[in-house]
Amino acid sequence: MTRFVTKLAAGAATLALAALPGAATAQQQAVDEETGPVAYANAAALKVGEKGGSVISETQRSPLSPGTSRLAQSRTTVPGTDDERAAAGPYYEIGLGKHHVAATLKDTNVPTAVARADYALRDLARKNDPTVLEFQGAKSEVTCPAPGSLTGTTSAEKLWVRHGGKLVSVKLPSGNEPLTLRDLPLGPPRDVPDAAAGERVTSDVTISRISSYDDLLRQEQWRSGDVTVAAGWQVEIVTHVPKAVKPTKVTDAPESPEAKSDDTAAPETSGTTETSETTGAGEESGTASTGRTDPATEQTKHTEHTEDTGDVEDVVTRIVLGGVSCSLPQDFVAAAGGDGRSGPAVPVKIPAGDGPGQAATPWGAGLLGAGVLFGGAAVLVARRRRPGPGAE
Amino acid sequence: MRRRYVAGGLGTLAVAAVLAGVLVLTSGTDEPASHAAPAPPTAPTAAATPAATEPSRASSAPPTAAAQPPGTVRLPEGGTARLVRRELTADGTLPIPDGLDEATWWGAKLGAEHGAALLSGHVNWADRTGPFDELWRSREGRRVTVVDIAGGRWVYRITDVLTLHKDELAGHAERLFGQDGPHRLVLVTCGGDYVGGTDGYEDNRIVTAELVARP
Repeated sequence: MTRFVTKLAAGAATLALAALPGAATAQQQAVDEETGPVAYANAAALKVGEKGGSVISETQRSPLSPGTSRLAQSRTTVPGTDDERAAAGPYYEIGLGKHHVAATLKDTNVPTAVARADYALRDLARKNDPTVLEFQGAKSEVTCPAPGSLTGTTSAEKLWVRHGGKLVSVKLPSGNEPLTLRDLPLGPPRDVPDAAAGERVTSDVTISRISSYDDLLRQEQWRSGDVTVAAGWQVEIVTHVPKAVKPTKVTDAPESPEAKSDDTAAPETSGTTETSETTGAGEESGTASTGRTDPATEQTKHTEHTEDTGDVEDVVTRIVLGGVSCSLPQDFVAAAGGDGRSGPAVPVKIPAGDGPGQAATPWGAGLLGAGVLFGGAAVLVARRRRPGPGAE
Repeated sequence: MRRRYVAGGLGTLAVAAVLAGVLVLTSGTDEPASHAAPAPPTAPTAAATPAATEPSRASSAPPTAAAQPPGTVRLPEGGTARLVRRELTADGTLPIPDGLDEATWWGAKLGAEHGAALLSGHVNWADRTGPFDELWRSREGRRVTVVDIAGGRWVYRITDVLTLHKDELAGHAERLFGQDGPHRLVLVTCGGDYVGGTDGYEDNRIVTAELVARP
C-alpha cells in the first residue's frame, strides 16, 4: 500500500471558533475581549507535517460575561467532515466518545476550561480493528483564579495501545516525562508516494503532557494573556514508510511474510515509563497495508535514511487532545460571586497584628493635658495665697 | 490655709495625671517593640519534627499542654486563641480580632469538603506578643489543633509556610483562600517592618495546613 501526503496551508484547516454567550449574571460588566480573562477549550486537533494540512475542532472560548461555552455532542470525531478529511488525510480519525469540552467565565470572572473525553485514535486503513491508541477518561483542565496561581492538570484513567491484535493497557507518562511507544501498527494519515507496496508500515508514538501554550494547536483567534497556563495531551506520531527502491524491485517484490506477523511484537517503550501490562498478545486480524496507490503530490516533512529494507520516509503527525488554556491580565483580581456584592470574594487584605498604640494615644495625651492643667491651676492657687507687700 | 490645701490637692492631681499619661503612652506605642515585629526568617523553610519545638514566646501560650477549650485553635507551640466568625468588608478586608485571645475565622467550616478555613490572629497588641506570633517560627510537618464548640478535635498538619508583602496578597488570594480547592486550614498574621497607616506591618505570614484527623 502506498499513501501520499498532500501539503496544505495551515489556513485551509477548520477555523471555527465558538464563543457562544453563556448565561450572564445580571448587571455584571463584561470583561475586555482583547485583554481580559479568557479561557479556551478544544477537543482535538491534528497537524500533518510541518507545513501539512491541519484540522482543529471547534474551539470553545469563554464568554465575555459569566457563562459557559460548550462543544456540542454532535461533534463525535476529528476530522468529521469531507473538508476536514481533505485537509488531514483520509485515514486518521480521532473518536471523542461522550465528551465534555467547555470554557467558562465564572461569576468571579475567573476563567476555567476543561476537556474530558475518551479519545480513540483510529487508522481507518485498518478495516477490522482501526483503534490503535485510546485514552480512557482523559481530562485536561486549567483554572486562572489569580495571576500568581494559575493551575493546569492533565490526566487520564487509562491508556490503551494496540498490541498483537488487542488493545492492552500501558502505564501513563509520569509528570512531564514523555512516553514513547515503538513499532505500533499505525500507517500514515495519507498515502505516501513511492511507498513500497506490501511493506510493513509502523509508527513510533510519543505521548506527553502539554506544559506550554506554544505546544497547543490553535486557531489564530486563540490568544494568550499577560499570564497563561495550558494543558492537554500531545501525541506525536512518526510513521516509517518503506519506499520502493526501484520500480522493478517493487513490482517483483513478494509480499513480506513478516509484514503481518510483526504486528504481534510487543510495543517497545522508552523514557521513564514502561508498559505495565504486556499480556494479551495475539494474531493481528488486520493489516496497515492494503496495496492502495494514489497519485503522488507534495510530501510532508520527511527524513530519509537507509535501512536494510531500503529507504524509509518518516511522516510526522502531531495531535493535541483536550488542548485548554486560560489567561489573565497582570492586574486581575477576582470579583465577588454572583450574590450582588461588589467586593472581592476572598480576603485581599489582612491587617491582623497592626500596632495597637492608636487606641492608647488619645488617653495618654488626655491625661498629660489634664496633668498640665491641674499643675497650672495649683501654681495659680499657690501664688494667690501669698500676701502682698504691706498686707500684714 | 484653705488655699494651701487646694493648691496641694491640685498639684497631686497634676502629678498623678502626668504619670498616668506617660504610662499609657509608653505602654502602647504606635510602633511596636522590635521583639513583637518579627522579620521574615532568612533560613530556608525545612520540615521539623514535632518534637523539635521551641520555647513559646507567646504571652498567652500556656506553659503546659492544658486541655484545649472548645471553640479555639492551638498552634504548635501552644499559642491558643478563641475563634470568632467574621465576614469580609466590601473591599475584601478581613476584620481584625478584638484582642490577643481571639482569632478571626473566615471561609470554610472545619473538615469541609472544599475550601480554605482562614484563621487570622494578632502578632501583637498593646505591646504584648500574640499567640499567632509563633507563625513566624512555624515549620512544615507540625500540628495545629482546632477544638470545635462541641468539643470535637480537628488536627491539621502544616504543609506550607509563606511570607508575602501585603501588596502581593491580592494576587495570591484566590489560590490561598479560595473556596474551590481542597480543604485546608490557613493561618495568617502580620509581621516584617512596621509601616503604619492602614497596613501596619508590611508583610503577611501565611501558614497552610492539611487535615489529618477529625473527631
